[in-house]
Amino acid sequence: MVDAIAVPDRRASDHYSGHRLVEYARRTRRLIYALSLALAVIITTALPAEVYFNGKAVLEARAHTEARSVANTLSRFISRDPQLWMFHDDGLQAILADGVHDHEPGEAHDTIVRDRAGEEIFRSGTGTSGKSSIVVREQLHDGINPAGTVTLIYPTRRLISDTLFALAIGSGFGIALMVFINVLPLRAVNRLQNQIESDQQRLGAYATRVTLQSERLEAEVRARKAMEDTVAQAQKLKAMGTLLGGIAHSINNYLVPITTLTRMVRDDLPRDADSRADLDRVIRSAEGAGSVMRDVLDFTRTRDAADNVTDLVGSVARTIALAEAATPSNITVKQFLPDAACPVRLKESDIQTLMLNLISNASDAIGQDGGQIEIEIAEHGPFGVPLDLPRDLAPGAYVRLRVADNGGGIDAENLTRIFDPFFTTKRVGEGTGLGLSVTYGLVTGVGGGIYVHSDGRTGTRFDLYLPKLSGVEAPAVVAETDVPISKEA
Amino acid sequence: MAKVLLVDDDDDVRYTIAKLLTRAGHDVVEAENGRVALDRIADDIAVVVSDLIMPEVEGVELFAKIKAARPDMPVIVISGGGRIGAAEYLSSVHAMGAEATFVKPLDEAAFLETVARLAG
Repeated sequence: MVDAIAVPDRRASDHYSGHRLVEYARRTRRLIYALSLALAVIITTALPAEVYFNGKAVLEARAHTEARSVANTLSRFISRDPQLWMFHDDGLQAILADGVHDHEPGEAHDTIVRDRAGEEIFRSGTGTSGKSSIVVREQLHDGINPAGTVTLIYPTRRLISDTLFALAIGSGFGIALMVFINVLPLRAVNRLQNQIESDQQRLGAYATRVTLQSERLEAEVRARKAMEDTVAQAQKLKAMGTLLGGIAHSINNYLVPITTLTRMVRDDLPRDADSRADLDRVIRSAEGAGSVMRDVLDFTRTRDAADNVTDLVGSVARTIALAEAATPSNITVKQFLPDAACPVRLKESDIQTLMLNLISNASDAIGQDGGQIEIEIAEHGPFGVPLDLPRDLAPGAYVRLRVADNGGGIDAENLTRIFDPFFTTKRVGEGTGLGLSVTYGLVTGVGGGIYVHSDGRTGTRFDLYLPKLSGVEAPAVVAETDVPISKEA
Repeated sequence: MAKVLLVDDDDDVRYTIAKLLTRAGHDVVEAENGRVALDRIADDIAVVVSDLIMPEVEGVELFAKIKAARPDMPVIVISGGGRIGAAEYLSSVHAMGAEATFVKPLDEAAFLETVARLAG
């Protein structure tokens, strides 16, 4: 069952616009930094006075500034540290609301400054020296032009400390503002980033799930394809078997008179009759046809489950010994056979037939250059784990007979036809194309399965799964009364 | 010198096996199908040689009926194989107690030897 895969489209687009939002937030933050900095600079410089480091602070009340505010500013400075401040006009005039005061240079004053309404603006302290002074110049012409200039002159020490103070206040305020302004958007940005990160994680998890599921799907598709192929092949072979079985039945019937009557006629002829040799040829041909038909029938046969029990291990070992004699010396046959007997429902002659077929095919695949054939019987996998059974096999206990060679391999196209009767890649006369068909028939006839693996380059492996009989069943001795006719040439 | 009931639907096959048996010294009673064979089975028949796939009464059915009526009657079943599961029939009748089974074309020597043994 395949789970539905829900791909979160909406989240994906959120994820995308989230990135854009973060980018916007970053830009906004930079903008805010810049603005804050500018603000700090403005605040710092927008002191009530223009500050110079030559020891003079000049406060100018320009045309729009009323004398009152000038005076207020003055009084703010002075009231902070009144004893320090003195009027010292350096011969200039301080034009005040209540009249013009003339001061002697260096003279200490105890001056009350009033505005035009008579309100006291400030009162000077008890100044002593003329080192510091405030010069207030104001020109008032009947209130028409309130512009005026007030010049504050005060000590350098004071100037620096005031400047630093102003800077500190200004930048402190600027920084505070910056922080304040930044905190909210920053928190928003952080929230956004967290959201995006968790979305990314979720998306990553989705992606992993999707990948896993698609891998599982692919594996499923592959397995189903393989199974369909196997089933299709089995159906094809079954159809062929039915067809060939019918043909074989007819031909075998026709062969009875041909072989038997020909033999009788031959035996009736005088020993020296010329036509005896011809009849021998007829008999040989008929027997050849009979032999092919027997192979065909072996392929089509579904065996009676109860007819034979043979020890696979012993049979295979004996067949290998038999085959090794006929195998070229540059081919090594390695065998991995268990010690214990392994009963299967096949005749010894059947096991011999299929083993000889497989070994001869392997040795043909290896060819001139030499190589190796490995024959293995396994009742279970490594460390005693059960055999990994092909999916189309009926559940049950199986023993696996494996014959593998390191020859040239079989390409995919030929693999699909390898069990077809009369299919052969060998030259005419070298093979009938029935060997593997017979092997197939023998194995599937007892409810087993035969599987061939090859990458088309480096060897071929045949895996035969035969239903395993429990050890308690003693091999029954069955008289082989249906032994085929002898194959004399 | 025994009497053999030979059952086969194919004239040429029947002719051939009859000739083979006659030459070996047996008396041959022929039947072209199972129904006729059941009519012709008699006390003096020593061995039945029967094809497996035939019209009217199939070989397996014939075999079962003969064995039911005459449990001691030896039966040799021959078959050309084929059709669906014909080979199974051969092992089935073997399991059911056929004294011998042979595939066509025949191994004459073994066939005659078996007939002689069972008739004897």
